[in-house]
Amino acid sequence: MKVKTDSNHKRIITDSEMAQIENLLTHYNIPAVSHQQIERTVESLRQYVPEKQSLWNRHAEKLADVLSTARRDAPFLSWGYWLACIIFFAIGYLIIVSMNSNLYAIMLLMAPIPFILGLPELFKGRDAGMAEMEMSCKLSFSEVILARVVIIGAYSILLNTLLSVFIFYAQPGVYIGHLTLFWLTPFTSISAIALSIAQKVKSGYAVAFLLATWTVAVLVMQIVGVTIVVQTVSTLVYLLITFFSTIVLIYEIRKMTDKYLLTRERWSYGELSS
Amino acid sequence: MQTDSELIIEILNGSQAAMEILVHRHYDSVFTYVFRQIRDYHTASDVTQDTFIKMMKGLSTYREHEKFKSWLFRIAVNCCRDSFRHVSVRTTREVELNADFSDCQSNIWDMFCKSPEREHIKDALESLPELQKEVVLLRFYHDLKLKEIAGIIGSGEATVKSRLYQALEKLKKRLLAREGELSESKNRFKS
Repeated sequence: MKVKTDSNHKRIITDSEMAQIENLLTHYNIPAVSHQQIERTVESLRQYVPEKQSLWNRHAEKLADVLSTARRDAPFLSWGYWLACIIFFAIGYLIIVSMNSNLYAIMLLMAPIPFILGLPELFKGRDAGMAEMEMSCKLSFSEVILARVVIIGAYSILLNTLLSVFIFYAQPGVYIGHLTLFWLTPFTSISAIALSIAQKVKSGYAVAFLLATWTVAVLVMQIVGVTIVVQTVSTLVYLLITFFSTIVLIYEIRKMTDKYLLTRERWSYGELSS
Repeated sequence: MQTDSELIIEILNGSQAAMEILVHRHYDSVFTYVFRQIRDYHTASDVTQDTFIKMMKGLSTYREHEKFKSWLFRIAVNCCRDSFRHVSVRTTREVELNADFSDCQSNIWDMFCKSPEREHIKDALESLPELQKEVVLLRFYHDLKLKEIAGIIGSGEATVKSRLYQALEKLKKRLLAREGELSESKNRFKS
């Protein structure tokens, strides 16, 4: 320890004095407490341990908590986000209906957009440097993040489903199952990638990068005719990609929520004692 | 080994075993802090138990942004402060009565606690104002950082630093002066 000084920069305690004091203080040791004494306390605490719940009840309770948090948090998401998504989807629908363009290419392009646009909402606390403060709030920050993922995911699914239904009624000869697969596959896969990128960089950069890359990718696919080939791919392939992407998405969500639980892990007993 | 956070999740899910592990893990450090503050074996045991009861009651409010040990020590510090308020209204007569009825365990403790050097350090710590003593105990006996201590006692880091320096200055006078006297008398004895 360095030499301590007072406000007038006068030397108060030197290193050796400090070491001496520390050394002397160690003589005031306390013998280890008896096992019986600890056991008495343990016995008195048993009544305060909550009733054991079944795994199903626990998960159901957790899900109810997340949904309740999502319901409370939804009004706090920017109105610009809700509006931008609706406008994007309305434009997409109008393009498909009025311009008679390749509806699958438009669906492919539109599917992950609500999720990508939702990234700044998801990470706004972190991006504004408020994560520390949010973590000290009544709700756990990881719960809030999970609730926001639920809101954004549900909103994306709702918009894509509505678009599919509208197209189904507007365009005769379109299969709703095929349409669903065509938005579900890019939605899950791009969302997983988006979440992974957004955890590493600021969400604003992630949104710009993902929107630009995805738009260019779909345009290129359209120009070289990949979107037509993609339509002929077997349903099983779509299902497999969707399944795999969903697993990756769940993993990314878990990784993200765990990141905010890591604060406590860092302070775990194991690390303290090492 | 399971982390404190994992144990807390298990306790909240109804695990008695997790509660036992958590209590066994932290009992010693809480008790030693409380004992150094209160200096009475029975009261220290009661206050430690009270600390753990409060911990259990408030476990669902524990948030992972804070180190569990710091959170627990904040409860312990508050329990000690409450106990001081209580003790201050107790009469000397009550203290004497308690001493008469002290059990075997506390007698062993008393014997252990009677080494002169230990008594001197205890007295030196005792001479410190309560708020300074708190900081010294948490800093030197529980190896907590100034920032953590600030969180525990609910003061700013600068306040903790200032209290610690003031306390060290007093300890220096009391402890090192005696050390000097002892070495002088040893030298005289040799010559």
